[in-house]
Amino acid sequence: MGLVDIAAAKTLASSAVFIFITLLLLASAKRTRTCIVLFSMQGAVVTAQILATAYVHRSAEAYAIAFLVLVIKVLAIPYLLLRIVDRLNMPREVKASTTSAQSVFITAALILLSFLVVQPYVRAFNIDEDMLAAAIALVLTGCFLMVSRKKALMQVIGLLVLENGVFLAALTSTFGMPLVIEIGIFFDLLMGVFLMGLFVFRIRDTFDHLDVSKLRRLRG
Amino acid sequence: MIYGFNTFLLLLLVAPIVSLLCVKMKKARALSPIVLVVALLTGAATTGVSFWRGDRLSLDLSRLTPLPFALTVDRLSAFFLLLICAVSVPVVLYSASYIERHYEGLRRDGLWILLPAFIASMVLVVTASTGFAFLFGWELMTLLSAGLIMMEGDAGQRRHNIFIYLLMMHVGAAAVIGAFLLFLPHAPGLTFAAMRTVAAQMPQGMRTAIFLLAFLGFGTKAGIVPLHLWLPRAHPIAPSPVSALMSAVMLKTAVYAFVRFGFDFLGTGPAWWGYLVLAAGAVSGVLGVLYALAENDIKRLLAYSSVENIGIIFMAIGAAMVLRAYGAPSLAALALLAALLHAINHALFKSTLFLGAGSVSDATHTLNMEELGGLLNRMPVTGIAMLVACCSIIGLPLFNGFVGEWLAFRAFLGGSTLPPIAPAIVLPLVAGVLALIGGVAAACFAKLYGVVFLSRPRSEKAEHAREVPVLMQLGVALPAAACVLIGVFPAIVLWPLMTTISELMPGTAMPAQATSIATVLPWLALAVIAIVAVVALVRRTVRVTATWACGQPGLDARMQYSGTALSKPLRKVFSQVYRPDRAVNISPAGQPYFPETISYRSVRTTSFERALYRPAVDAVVAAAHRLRRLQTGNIQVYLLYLFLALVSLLLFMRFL
Repeated sequence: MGLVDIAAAKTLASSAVFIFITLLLLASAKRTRTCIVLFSMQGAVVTAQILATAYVHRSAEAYAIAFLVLVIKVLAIPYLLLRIVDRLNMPREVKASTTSAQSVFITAALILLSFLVVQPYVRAFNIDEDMLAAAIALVLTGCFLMVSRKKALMQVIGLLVLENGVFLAALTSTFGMPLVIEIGIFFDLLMGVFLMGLFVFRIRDTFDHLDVSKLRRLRG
Repeated sequence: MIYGFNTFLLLLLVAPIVSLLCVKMKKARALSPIVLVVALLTGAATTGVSFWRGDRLSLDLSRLTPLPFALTVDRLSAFFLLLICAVSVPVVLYSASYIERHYEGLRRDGLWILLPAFIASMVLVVTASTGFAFLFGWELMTLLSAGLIMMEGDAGQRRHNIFIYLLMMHVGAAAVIGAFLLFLPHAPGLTFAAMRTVAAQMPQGMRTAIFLLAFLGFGTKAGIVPLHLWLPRAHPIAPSPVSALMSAVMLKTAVYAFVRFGFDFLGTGPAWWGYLVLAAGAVSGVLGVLYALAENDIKRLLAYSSVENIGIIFMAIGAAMVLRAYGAPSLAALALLAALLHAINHALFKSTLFLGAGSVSDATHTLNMEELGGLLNRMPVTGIAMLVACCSIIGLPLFNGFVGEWLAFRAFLGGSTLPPIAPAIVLPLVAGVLALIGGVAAACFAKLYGVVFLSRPRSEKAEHAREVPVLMQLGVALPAAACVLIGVFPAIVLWPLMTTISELMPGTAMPAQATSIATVLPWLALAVIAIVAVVALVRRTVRVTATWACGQPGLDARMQYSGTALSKPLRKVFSQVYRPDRAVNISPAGQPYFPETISYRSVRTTSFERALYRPAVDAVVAAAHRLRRLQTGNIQVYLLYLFLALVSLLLFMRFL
């Protein structure tokens, strides 16, 4: 057994734990920049895992996807978001409606919930329990971040975390979607970030704040 | 023939695209009506030939759609398909002129895009042979007709009326969807063939539920009282050709669907189904015609008259169901024959009347009868076509309305020969109701025609009316000619119809009552022509003098009978139905003998409609107010709803 095999196996075994750590840190983070960096790190964990899967299953497509994830989720999107934060020149807190401690507690509960709900599928389809639970936890925590953070940028980050979860769920349950679809999704994501970046600027210019809880005139 | 049918469908689908492309090209604008007329003629020819041969045209598109989607033209579908094509041709010809004269820009383009699509959706409804295709067409038909109404504008009251139309259509559609879904456990693909076979084995309670849902859903579309509220609101505010299509054709798709469910799928049911339909039809007929009588707006009058005629059709359908339940198949066939014949008759004369009303408003810019008069001299072609249509709708012999009502009378009266006591009493009584409807309808259309086309003009607008362009005359004259044709030679429709009915009720043959009337009428026509010719030859001189005015110096238009006055005696007799809200305002108040102005107002109150609908409306509004608390307007709260839904779904999947 070569060194690379051991590395791949270790990566597959431990990446779920790293994902949980990033989630708990995201929940406790108080500054937007920290959140973006944490998201980038989460992307790195996902990349490592895809690489490991690609190596184990000897799949060329998976290498390409890993490369795309690295470029888009680890580098491009965080870079864009950081630039937006710099240019916005607004207060840096995430403005959570829950305290850090509460957020961490809730996120931990969500992780437990994820383990709880994946049991039947793990047994039925013979999928790695930790990875599927991590995917569900990513989705749930992404939702939770979107609900509880008031700043418009945090909604973007929540959505990205949620998307990571969907991606990971696809990877663990069916070894990823076809390459064409993955490329399409990445493109969507990039466009989404661009658009949301634009909107964030528009919100700032129109209302002089980024607090979405104050945007409630849509109501009929 | 399948190629012809495919060509028809293709042309029908191409027509809106052609209109869309013509938006920018002024010169090519005539193309869209031409494509549409060619499509409809192809459809009529194809369906006619395949009907005659007894072919079953079918087109299965299930590979392209998520749920089974197929079209099949059996005889019943072919009959209604012919009706759609035959009535749409004059309507499209009429529109070619009418739309150009009345609308411009976006509205005109919108009408030309939606009109072919609307016709296509009706074609889809009558040819669909799977539940999915049918419901798709059914919803599309509602939405496109609402779109066509909106092309006329959607300000204020109009928007409210369109809203009521859409609301009632959706309640009806919910019932229709329910009727289909009840088949789902037994016939998973919801193909009509499967539904037909499983319906017989379903438990009686389930069959009754399906029947009631179908009656509710299709009754709403057809405008059965008390589900008719939308009809007098939606029809008058649509552009005239659209009113004609909605009243003449769209209501018939509901009749088609109800016959499909009641006779094709469910087969023979208990007698009370029939009695229910019969009662609803009788109430619709009587109330429809009484309301029509009280109206002074031509299109509202015609809309209520549609309620009446749908009532007659449903009375005949109900009688057919009753007679079938009591084991009298040949009388049942006669009643169904009357229903389907009246459906096509109503399509013909009602399209004439609505198009004629459009011509009247085109020439005079008003539809208020009290401002019209003397149009027969000014618009001879429209006037004569309208006379034919009025004679048809009140059922005068030698016009098509007569044949249908005659057969209905024969079927109702034939019910007295049944051994059980209930139908032997009820059915002849229904004949009495039909006679009442006929009488009031005669008064109603005598009023319409007398006030609008005879007498002297009641306003400047009517005084200066001019005949409409040739295409519009043609659109009114074609269905009127068909009315006379069917009235004199009913056999041309009766034989194909009987073939259709013997497919629905195997073992029935052409009833003797129908054969006899079909043989008598041509001879009667000949006799009438002979008498008219003799009288015309004998009486050579016509004296034209002024009307005698009791020695007073001259009569003016204001002294004529008005529409309100003409209907007064009957409104007085039926005042319990109208419950009019009257008010006389005299000013100044203290001097009753020397007034400066007197105004009189008499409004029909809709007390029973209010009593029926008010509680339901109030309950919905109250529920909506309570639900409104969920709408905080805060994005994060909406996200929270999503989040909670996600978590609860996960838990649900895990533990249940």
